[in-house]
Amino acid sequence: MHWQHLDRDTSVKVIDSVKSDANAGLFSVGTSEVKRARALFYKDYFLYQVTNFASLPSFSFQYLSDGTFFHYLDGTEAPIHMVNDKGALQLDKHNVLGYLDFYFAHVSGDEGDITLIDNPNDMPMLDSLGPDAYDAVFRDHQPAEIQVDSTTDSFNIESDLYNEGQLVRAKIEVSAKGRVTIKEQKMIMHEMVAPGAPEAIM
Amino acid sequence: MNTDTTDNNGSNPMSGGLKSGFGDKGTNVNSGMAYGHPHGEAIIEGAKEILRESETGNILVQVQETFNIPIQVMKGKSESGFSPEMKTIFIYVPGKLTKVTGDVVFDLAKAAREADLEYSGHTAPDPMKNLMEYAGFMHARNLDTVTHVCTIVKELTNSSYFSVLLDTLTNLGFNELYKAYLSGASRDELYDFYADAYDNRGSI
Repeated sequence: MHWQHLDRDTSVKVIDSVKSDANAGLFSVGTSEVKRARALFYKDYFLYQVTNFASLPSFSFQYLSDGTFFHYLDGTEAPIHMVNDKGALQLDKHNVLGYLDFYFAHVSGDEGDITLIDNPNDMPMLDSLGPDAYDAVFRDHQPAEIQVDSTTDSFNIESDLYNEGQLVRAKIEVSAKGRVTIKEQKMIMHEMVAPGAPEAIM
Repeated sequence: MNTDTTDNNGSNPMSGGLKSGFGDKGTNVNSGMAYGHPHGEAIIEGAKEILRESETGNILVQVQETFNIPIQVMKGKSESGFSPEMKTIFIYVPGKLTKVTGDVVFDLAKAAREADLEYSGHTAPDPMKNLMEYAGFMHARNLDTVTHVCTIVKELTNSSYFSVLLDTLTNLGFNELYKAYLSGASRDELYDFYADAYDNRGSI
């Protein structure tokens, strides 16, 4: 994603638009920068990021916005669905994987993060695997397959996912409005984590 | 979450460029945006409960409570940590989560140790005066905080949380560092593993 830093005046307006009185210190104009990037699957909406560099770690906030209305990406699907329902989403066979990657990057699963594995080198926990398991990740990896359902304008995708500590081959449906449903998961590797080890502790 | 439900002008604000999108109708059309996590308090209590079972974690919880350091749990995905300027610990948790996870335990322990160092007088030098000195300080502090988390995980080896915490360390790229820590590696050796993890993640 290509990020573009915004000029000072525009940055101030963005910060003014998204700041919260309860967290005013996090939205200090003097120590924050704003950048934006175009997402190929959105028309007229951009991804914005406000970062406060006053301390390390620096604290960041990401939004979907048309320049006026800012939808904070809070780890749920709600802000993405809201933008999609405004007709901003334009999915096709060429950008649907990019959308899915964006979706999983900003929407957590019920038990933690889900990662689309388009490239096995990007798989979490790769460095923890033994040589056999490591080889199996690359040997068993298959590129994503995309089928368009022209009757519903939806997409049926079969792709590798990292979900709840497991590498799985998943069947995923992405509707024309960008609703994502994981319909089926088949474990690719069984020995990655201890059997029954939960992601959520309580 | 505070987002709009209706557009107020029906026009395309981007068609005239970003600036025109703000126009003259005032900028704060998203007033009252809420960032606080609805389950933040319960999630942090759950994380503290786990940390208290470790001697090192318990000390960090006591530091946070003794100095009455506020913890703000924010919805979203960003780096968590202690802000010396605001004297506040910020923990980011995806809005969808309702329970404590290994990531939250890691983040809280790391941030509490950052606060502990700050309150012990280990304050960061001014980056405007000497950037290299500042960078050196931050990396040394990061190594210290991650090593503290390794200690906590080791102390919880026999607990029911161990496998989840170990997965969290691995997920965050600290698997090799943890193995080196267990084998009694020197600080310089640990730093090499820390540097590898930093290079892979782009941050700690």
